[in-house]
Amino acid sequence: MVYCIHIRVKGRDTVELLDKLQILADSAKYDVACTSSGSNRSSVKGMLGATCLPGLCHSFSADGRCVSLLKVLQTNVCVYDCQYCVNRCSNDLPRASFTPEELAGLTMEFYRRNYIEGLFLSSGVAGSPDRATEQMCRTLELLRYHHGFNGYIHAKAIPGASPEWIDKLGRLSDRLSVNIELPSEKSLTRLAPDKKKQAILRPMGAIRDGITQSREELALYRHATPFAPAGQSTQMIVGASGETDLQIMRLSESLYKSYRLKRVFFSAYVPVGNRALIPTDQPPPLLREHRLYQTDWLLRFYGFSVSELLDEQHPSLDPLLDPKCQWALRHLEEFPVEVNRASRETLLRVPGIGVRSAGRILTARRAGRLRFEDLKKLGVVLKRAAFFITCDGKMQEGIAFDPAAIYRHLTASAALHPDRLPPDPTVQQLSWFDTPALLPTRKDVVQCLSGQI
Amino acid sequence: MPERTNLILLHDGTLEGVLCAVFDSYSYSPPPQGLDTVSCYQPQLGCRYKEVTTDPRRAARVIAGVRRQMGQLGYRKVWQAFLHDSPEKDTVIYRYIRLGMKEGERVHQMLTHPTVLAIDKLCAITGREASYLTEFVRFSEVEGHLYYAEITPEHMTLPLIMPHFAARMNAHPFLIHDKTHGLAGVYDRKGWVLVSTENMTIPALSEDEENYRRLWKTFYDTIAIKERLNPQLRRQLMPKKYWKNITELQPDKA
Repeated sequence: MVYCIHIRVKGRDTVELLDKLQILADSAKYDVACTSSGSNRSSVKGMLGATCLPGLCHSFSADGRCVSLLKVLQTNVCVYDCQYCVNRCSNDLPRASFTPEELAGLTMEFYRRNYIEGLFLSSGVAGSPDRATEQMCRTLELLRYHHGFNGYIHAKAIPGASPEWIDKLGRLSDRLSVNIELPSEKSLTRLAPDKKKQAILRPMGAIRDGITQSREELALYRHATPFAPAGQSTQMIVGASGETDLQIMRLSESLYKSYRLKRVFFSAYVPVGNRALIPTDQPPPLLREHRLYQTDWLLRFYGFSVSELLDEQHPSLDPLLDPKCQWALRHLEEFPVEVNRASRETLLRVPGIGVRSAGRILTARRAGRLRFEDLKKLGVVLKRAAFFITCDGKMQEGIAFDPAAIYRHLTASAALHPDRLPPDPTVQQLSWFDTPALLPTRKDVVQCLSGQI
Repeated sequence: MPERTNLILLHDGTLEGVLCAVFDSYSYSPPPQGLDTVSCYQPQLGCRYKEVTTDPRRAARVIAGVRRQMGQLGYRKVWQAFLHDSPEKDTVIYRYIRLGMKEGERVHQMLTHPTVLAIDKLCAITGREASYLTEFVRFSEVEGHLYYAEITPEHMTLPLIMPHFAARMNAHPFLIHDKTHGLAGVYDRKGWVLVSTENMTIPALSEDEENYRRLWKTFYDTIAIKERLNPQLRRQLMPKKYWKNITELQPDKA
């Protein structure tokens, strides 16, 4: 077949392509990962595109999620029947497939217009996992070898595909991912009867080994083809099954350690279509998802471990407070921290001090002693940090080092915006015919006076 | 406490002019209070004004001095702050260079010094705008396989983003039109230059351009999850001032 670099979209074809794009983007939108990070490939003369280490977003959709990659499925025809998934074969929705030529051409044209940073390619399992992977590989080969595309490619490894196909896929893409989807084997058997835990973990292990091997090859031969240079990631659905935050974060931590993942993504469960197995009447747990991401950041950049942040007594994260504040309030014996002397690791554990401001504190204190007003200029969030730090041995004026008072201050803004919190099942609309206990009980009065909310 | 002075040096508004004014400032004691441009300064009561002639050789000596004393980072900050559109940037640059010449590399540690804070703020503003632009520039294919983009930045950030696009879009020529400053960055597959856009005619769109815009807009509208709508977050991540040049945010044509 003869291709030309500029694939032309003629009148009739556009409509067909438009429909396909709509169907296949709609089917892919519940995949969270849309990052183009982790790969740093400079441009090559005559080839389109480059990748940069922190990644680049190109747009933000109406739900505030970043659009970095053209996120589509090769096909949404699927033989599996996973209950959480929009593409399960029992769901009644229009099905479509891109030909490799169409998808490669579309990616090139979008990239030239700076709409996207690359392609995120996933696929339903049409026929067998090997066949689905084969189609994906054909698209990526066209992009890389025929069109000379040098931008970012994130591909989904399909559980059950043979190692040869996974290897081929990995050599064509920057990042590979296998979705765990459900955080425990029990939920997996209940909600995704066709998927087995081992079938998911096996390709993850294979990708990890492929990456390690590829690093060694690259060290020996400069021109070896890298295998998934941006590493691998996975995602879990939050709120579809009964796992606690503790279970979810323990699983993520072990994935980071044993499979050397770059990222674990969390996706608040959004009910799609009609199913009986999963409760559907609640809004997606967005705040919980946010808290899980904050915890994930603490693991990856702040030197925390899950056992410090969550345990059997505290299995879920407090919606009112960010996880670092929660940890700090439980470990007041480690505070206050002297800003002019503390190590980077200690500074990073102070609420209100992030990776950037910790770095700036370290730099700035070489030139002179820091005062509270200096910290503000360096970007420290004193609203939170003031309770946990001293400058030259003194706490900020008017700050009391008292757990209850700190908790009250830190949660004040959350208390002002109760609409941002998840609905409390114990709170109900008042009714004339109920006889609720409206008067405060003795317990309420005591709590009020002792300042514990 | 240094002696107060009411002298203000006037330069021609170019980076070289600013650097020459910095050069000349060393011949005054006490040093001048600040800089301003010849074309748009407003005389203030009690201030003396003196015009500086621009001379590339003196400017080059200042650049060499900045590089020697403050390193490449120091010069980068001067250059990036100069792209800011406020009139006060000249005085900030002037004070920063004088501070840096005295303190040397140590100036990069003095993050809480008012002068360093001021120049860091200017650099952050231009740097942030440049990074927004690398995300939100939208090219359209026009006649003759040229890719054309319009931007309306607040600051002169075109030179900050041209290298990014020249590297990754090296397979075809493109042009980024800065409508605020009447400038265009043109890439011709060999290198890029900045040109003035007086008398520039914008070629017509190629025949398929509208189709690709429709495809992209469809994708963009489809990818949002209705149950998670959060327009406030979108505005925060993609400020409204950039919207008018972003293809997918244009209203549908009837």
